[in-house]
Amino acid sequence: MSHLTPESLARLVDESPTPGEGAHLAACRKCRESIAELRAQTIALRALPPAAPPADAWEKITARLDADRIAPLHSGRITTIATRAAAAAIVFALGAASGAAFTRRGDAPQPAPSSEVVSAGEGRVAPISGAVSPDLALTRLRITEMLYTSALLDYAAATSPQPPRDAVARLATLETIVLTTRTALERAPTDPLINSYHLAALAERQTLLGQLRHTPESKQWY
Amino acid sequence: MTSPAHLDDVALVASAKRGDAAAMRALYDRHAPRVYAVVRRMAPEESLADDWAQETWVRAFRALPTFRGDSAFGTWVLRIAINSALHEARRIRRRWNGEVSLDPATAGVERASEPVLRTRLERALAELPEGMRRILVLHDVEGYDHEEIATILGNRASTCRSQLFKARAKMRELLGEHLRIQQKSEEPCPT
Repeated sequence: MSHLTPESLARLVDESPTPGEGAHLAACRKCRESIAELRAQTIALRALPPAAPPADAWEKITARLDADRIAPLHSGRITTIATRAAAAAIVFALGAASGAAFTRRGDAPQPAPSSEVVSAGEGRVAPISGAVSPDLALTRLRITEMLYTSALLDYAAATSPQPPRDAVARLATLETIVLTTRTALERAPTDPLINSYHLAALAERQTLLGQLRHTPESKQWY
Repeated sequence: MTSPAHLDDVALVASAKRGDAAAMRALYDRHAPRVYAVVRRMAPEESLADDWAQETWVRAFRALPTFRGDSAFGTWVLRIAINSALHEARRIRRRWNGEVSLDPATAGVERASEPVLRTRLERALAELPEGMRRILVLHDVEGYDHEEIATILGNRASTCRSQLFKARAKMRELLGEHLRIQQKSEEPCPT
C-alpha cells in the first residue's frame, strides 16, 4: 500500500477522509504530517495581508472613462470627447446644410448611399463638388475616421475565431456615430446622406445590442 | 437622501447604468480591494497589477449596460479582472518570447522588511502555473467557495475543486522545506 496521492492529501485539508483513507492515516504518520503541512500552508495563505489598490487609482479610472464618454464623472466639466463630438456634429450640420443649399440651387439630387454599404464598414463620404471649407473637410474626415474604426472592428470580428472581444468598443463607436448624426439631423432633417448614416448606425447598434443581450454573461468577451 | 454607500449593489448598478457617478464610485470603493488583491497576486509586478486593476474597472464600467445581474456584481467584476489578468499575462509572455519573469527579486515581491514566510509564500504563488495560481488565490487566499469560483471562472464546481487540490499539492512542492513539520523519525508506510 502506498502513501495517499498529493491531490488526496490536499483534499483532506478541509474534507473528511473516506474509510480507506482514514484507515491509512491512522497508521501512517508521514501522510498525517503532510496534511498538517498543507493545513499550515492554507492558514498561512489566508493570513497574507490584503493588497490595497493605489490611492490614485480612481482618478486614473475616471480620466479614462471621461475620455470614453462613459459618464461625466467630474461634475461641472464637459468631457473632451463629448466636446469634440458636439463640435464635429455642429460643423457637420452646418456643412450638410450648405451642401443641401448647393443641391437646391440646381444640382441633381444625389441618391442616398445604401445602409448595407455603411453598416458593412465600406461606406464613404460622397465627394463634394466645388469649394470645401476646412470645417466641412474636418467633419468629413471625422465621419470617415468613424467608419474606418467600425470597419476595422468588423474585420477583427470576422477574422477571429473567438467571439468579438471589442464589442463594447464597437458599441461606443456606434454610439458616437448615432450622436453625431442625430445632432446633425436636428439642423438638416431632410438631408438624405445624414439620414442614411443615422439609420445605418441605429440598425447596427440595435443588432449589436441584441447580440450582447443574448450572449450569456459567463460567455461574454470580458 | 440615502448615501450611495448605504445602497445594495443592485440599486447601485441601476444608478450607475444611468450614469450616476456617485453610484459608480460606491461600487468601486466596495469591490476594488478584492479585485486588486486577486489581480496583484496574478501579476508578475506591482506596477502591472495597478494597470490591470485599472483596466478591469474601465472594462467593467464600459460593459455595465450589458450587465443583467445574472450573477452578483462582485462576481462579475472579478471575472473581468481575472480574464483581463490572464489576457495581459499571455500578451506579456508572447512579447517576452515565452519568458515571463516571475522571479520575485525582479517582481518586487521580496522586501527585506517583510516576514520570511510571507515572502516565501508570495514567491511560491508567483511560480505556480497560471491556472493553479488563479484557483489557489481565489480559494485559499481570498476565501471564495467552489460554487463562487465556478461562477467567476465559468467552470464546473467539481473542476475547480480538483484544480484546487492539484494547486495545493504543487504549492507544497514549491514551498519545499519551508513549511515542513519536524519529523522525529522516519516511519515506514503501512503495507
